[in-house]
Amino acid sequence: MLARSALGDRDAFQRLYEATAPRVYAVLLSMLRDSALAQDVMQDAYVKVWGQSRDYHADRGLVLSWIIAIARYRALDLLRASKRRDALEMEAVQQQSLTEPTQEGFSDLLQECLGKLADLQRRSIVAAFVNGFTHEELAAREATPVGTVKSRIRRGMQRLRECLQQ
Amino acid sequence: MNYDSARLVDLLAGEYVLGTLRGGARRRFERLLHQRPDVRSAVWRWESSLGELGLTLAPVSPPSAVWSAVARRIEPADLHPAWWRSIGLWRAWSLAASTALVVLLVVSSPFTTSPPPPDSAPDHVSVIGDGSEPLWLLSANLETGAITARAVNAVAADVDKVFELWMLPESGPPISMGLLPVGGESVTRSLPAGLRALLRQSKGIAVSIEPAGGSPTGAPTGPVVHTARVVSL
Repeated sequence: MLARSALGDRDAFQRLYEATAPRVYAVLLSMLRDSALAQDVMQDAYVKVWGQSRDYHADRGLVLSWIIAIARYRALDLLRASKRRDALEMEAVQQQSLTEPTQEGFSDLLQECLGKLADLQRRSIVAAFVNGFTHEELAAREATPVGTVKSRIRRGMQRLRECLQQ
Repeated sequence: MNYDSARLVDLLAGEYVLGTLRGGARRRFERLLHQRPDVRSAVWRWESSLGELGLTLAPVSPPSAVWSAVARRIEPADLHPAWWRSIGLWRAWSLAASTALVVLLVVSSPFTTSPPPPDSAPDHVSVIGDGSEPLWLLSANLETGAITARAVNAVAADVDKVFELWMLPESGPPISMGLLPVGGESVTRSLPAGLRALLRQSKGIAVSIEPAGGSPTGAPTGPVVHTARVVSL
């Protein structure tokens, strides 16, 4: 579908959209917690996917991961630029439980490697990815110094990479 | 910061994808991302691995208005610059191609490379270009099956890379049409009868960058760098 989209085939692009949009939208809602904003980012992301579809190649991994990456970068830009999470939102962030990965949905390898992380490392990495939390936001919700969160994520990412490369 | 350390680059790439790399560090890393293939590869690996975390969330269908808005924004799908639409160019190319001296180049391809029958003036043409510059000119006579590709401005992709031409049939996966010549060379092949109908009905052609010898899988494995329509004269 993506190869045809690269040629300007709008029907193929619509099928690609229908197959991937619910996954991408779920990530954006989780990050932005604002459906109107998430829908704006969806538009920007898929217009970009359409424009860049000829740049995609197999080294970039699953098409869905590539599209999620495009959408997340846009959402991260918005979150960081607007400092959207004001005090009220931060309170909600602190009350929100960190997302715990389910046993379904991703590869055995990633599941296995996440399982090798310490509980807080795993929760922090997943929360940073699916909620778009910064170090400061994670530190605030865990009542932990920012430096502790930074080193926790760094060590978790190191262990994750070592495991994924095996 | 020592960006020559592969380990450091990989960790920065991970935090870049995660979103926890921020401010000046993120901007410096983005500059590096545009300059260094190894940095891009590291980011792609993390995007691929971490992207799966998005699957932990239950899918949520967006309102139909989102697709409607996307569809409006990608309209019109004008794929071709003005020179592409010039009928004068097609006529000139048709005449030139029918009398051109071509150099046969044997490449790995499902097509035979026997010389085309004489007097096979093209009835279909395609210009594969980059912006305003045509890179290859393709001409085909779908009655005789003769198809010629001429590199007008295309140069080699890399020392160990080649350009592979793909037909995008109306339905089904892309079909390899062999490797494209570079450096001013031409190649002429004979298209089997079954594929002539597919090309006539095709949605176009595409060019990907592949390892030396062509795609090892029979499907495009490298980036699709060019696409074009096939036009009936």
